[in-house]
Amino acid sequence: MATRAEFFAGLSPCAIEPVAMPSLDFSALDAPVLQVFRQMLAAVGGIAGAGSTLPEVDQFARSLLDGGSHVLSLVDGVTGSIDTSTVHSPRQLAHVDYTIAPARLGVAENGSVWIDGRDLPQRSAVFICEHLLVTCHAASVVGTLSDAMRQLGSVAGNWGAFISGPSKTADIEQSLVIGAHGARSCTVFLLAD
Amino acid sequence: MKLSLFVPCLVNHLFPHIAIDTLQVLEKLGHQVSYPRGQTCCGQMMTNSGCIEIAEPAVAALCEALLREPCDAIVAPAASCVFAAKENIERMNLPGEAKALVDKFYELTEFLHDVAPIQRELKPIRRVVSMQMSCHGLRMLGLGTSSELALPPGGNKLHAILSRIPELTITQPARDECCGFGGTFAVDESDISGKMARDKIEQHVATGADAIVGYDPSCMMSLGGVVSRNHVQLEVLHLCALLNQAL
Amino acid sequence: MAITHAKNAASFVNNEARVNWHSAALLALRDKRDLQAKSVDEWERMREAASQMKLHVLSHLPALLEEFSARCESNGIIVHWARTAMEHNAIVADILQQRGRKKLVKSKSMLTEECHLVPYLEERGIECIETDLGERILQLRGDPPSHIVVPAIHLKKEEIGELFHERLGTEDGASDPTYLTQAARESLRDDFLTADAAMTGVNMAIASEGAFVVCTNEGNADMGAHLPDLHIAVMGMEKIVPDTASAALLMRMLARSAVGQPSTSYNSIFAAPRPGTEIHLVIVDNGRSRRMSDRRHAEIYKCIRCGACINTCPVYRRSGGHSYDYFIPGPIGLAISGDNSEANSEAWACTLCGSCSAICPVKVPLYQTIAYHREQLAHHKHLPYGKNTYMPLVGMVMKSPRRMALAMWLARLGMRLSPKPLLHRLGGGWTKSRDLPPPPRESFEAWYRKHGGVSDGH
Repeated sequence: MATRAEFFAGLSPCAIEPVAMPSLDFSALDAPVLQVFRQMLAAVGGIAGAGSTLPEVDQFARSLLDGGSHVLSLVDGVTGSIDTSTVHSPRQLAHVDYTIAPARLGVAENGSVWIDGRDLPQRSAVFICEHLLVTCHAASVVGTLSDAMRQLGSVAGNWGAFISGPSKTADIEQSLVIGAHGARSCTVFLLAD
Repeated sequence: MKLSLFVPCLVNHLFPHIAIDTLQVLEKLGHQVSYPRGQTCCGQMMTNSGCIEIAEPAVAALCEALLREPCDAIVAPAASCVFAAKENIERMNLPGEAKALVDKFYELTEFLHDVAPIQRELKPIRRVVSMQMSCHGLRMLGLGTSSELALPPGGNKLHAILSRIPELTITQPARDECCGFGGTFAVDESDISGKMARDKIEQHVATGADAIVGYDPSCMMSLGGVVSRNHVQLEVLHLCALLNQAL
Repeated sequence: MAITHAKNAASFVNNEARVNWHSAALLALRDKRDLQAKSVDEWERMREAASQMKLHVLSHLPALLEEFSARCESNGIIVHWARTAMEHNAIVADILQQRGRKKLVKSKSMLTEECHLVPYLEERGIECIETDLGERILQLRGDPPSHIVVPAIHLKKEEIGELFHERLGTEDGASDPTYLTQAARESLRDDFLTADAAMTGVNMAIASEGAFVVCTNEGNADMGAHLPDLHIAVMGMEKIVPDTASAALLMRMLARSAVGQPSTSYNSIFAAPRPGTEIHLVIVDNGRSRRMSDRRHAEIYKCIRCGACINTCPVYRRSGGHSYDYFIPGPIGLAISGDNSEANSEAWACTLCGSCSAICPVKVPLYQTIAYHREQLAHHKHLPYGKNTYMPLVGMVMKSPRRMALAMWLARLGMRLSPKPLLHRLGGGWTKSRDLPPPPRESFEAWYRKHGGVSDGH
């Protein structure tokens, strides 16, 4: 294998004349952001949670618990059945039915939410569960992914993901199937405050 | 205007009526048209297969012929040939005066749309025609807005010209997909080419038209061949034929 | 004798029902893409900006690679450099073997196909499981992919049902996509939970952050990366983007162009390993730099691997991915490798219609590059389909108006006198599906001579 120096020494000069970076300022959405978010969430197969306050989400979580589900709550004020301080390895979460995770912002143009790794005991939490529930402050929803990345600033030293709806595939005869390897459903509760 | 007619080799030798119609249309519109002798070929049969050097003498001869007659513009009823002629003249090792010809070339549709629009009233033609927006004209000469682009539809120059003909119903296939001619592709990849041509004819038929109208004789030759082989009820026309009838 | 693309495609295209089905499947993706592109007001402006951004990247690559790798390292990501496919494979094998890893789950990466990584690892006793559903289907079949984004698009659900019945124990005759996908989910979940290493590709590598982005719909890259304690990411060196704004732009265009979705379900941004785990990143040249030193090739490395060009290509849709020599089919495959096929015919699996260049989100000059390959092959007299012989003759005839006139007069005469069956045979490829045009009585120049330059147009 090559050292860094050997690799660079082996590079031929690129024949493209130096080109300056273009402007990457793109327009804001021209429609109300929350309206678009709700539309796009549905379009990508996500579910709009019925509930816009933490107590309502908590009530929903409790009903899941009553039904016997394993619930991993990572949102303060929302009850779960798993003590997060006992979660030391990613595979421990293999039996989780519902993960309830906080999103730091939402993106209207694609109905996605940004999950920051620092809010999770394990990164696997939002993928390994059967169903994903997300709380997202309505005020934190921005229009486009360009807006979102600008808002996030630096991502260095961390991990995070934009999650847009449930996992899906159309690899078998182009038929859309909801639920591939990640969560089989994605519900977003937009919190009003 | 003082015009020179560039008659591509395919038109000259296999579809002379396209050149005759074009000549008559331009004269009826009041232009002074000459046909410089000694024209050869735009070179695309060779240059489309990467044979630039082999094509150079033919393109040089074409330029020589065209340079013999001073004119305001050179008009040709063949989009791919105009595109190829311009591209080839620009990249080949030719004298400066030959290179200066590039700016004078116009395909017939673009000439009648951009340079010398038809002012007078045209005679009605009660037909339904389906536009054959061949690729070189569409995507390389900008005769329309191709469907890949996220731009407002429109800017279809063929449509604009045909719309001047009263009582003519103008349609087009559901997709602006290639007809499959592709030059030597038609012979090298004949199975795929034939399938593409049949699919294109199907789309034209589905519009309910009784004729296809196009601006590229090479594509028309391929589509006409499929129409004939499969006994399809479609006439294959060049724009100049309809215009000649309407003038 | 090497087989031409036309020969390779023959059985595919001549199965009319199958080819119609295949073409329609790809056009469905194209139509979804069109809807998405038209729903974004500034799409064409974004294409131009993405193109300029990528040109900036390619023309400043060494500096950006330096910045990127330094920041990756300060994020705790271990960076490796591979000049060739062999070095790439050796690096990956080494990382795994040094740690005694035996079971690798991997998400989709065209780079790993390019380097033939999986057979290399399997020969060294390391089990490699493709986790993208399409790739997994092909792995079980022992087939190569036929598309870079939807690799199993050439298969019918009944065929997949049969395969899963054999290999995963699904019900005999079952072909419902949801049922089959669920079976794959259960089977692969087991693999995710027992794997001791994971591999992903890289969709974008952000120089200013020392971060890389992995985009999937299935969540398989993340189910891999976040479970075992070893994550190996591999990337072609051209995947760099300068900053997060550039990454955002490409994220906005990738899924829209590829499958007509506003985004993939997951855009996972890695800029540090989990505590107590490792992320290794292998950066690969493998001929990219050499290709980039030719201006007429260089722009192919703007490509973001969306596959939109493949979906729109009328030739690909009717010949299928397996008819191409190169592991990437369609326009981008031809643009990368059209001068390099055994029968020299790949660059002619194209009508130069220009749909690909018009649809490319980063404005790769695809058909122009394919045309360039033809020039290179012509220059070396490596032309296919008999052109080495007949093109010089064509040139000789066409440079002389008199010679042309004589040749065409003879051709017209021949067309008029020959019985149809003979014409049909002599017509070769043309007359398979088409009639020849009816020969005119005389050429235009002969008509013009007779009419003395005065037509009855006045």
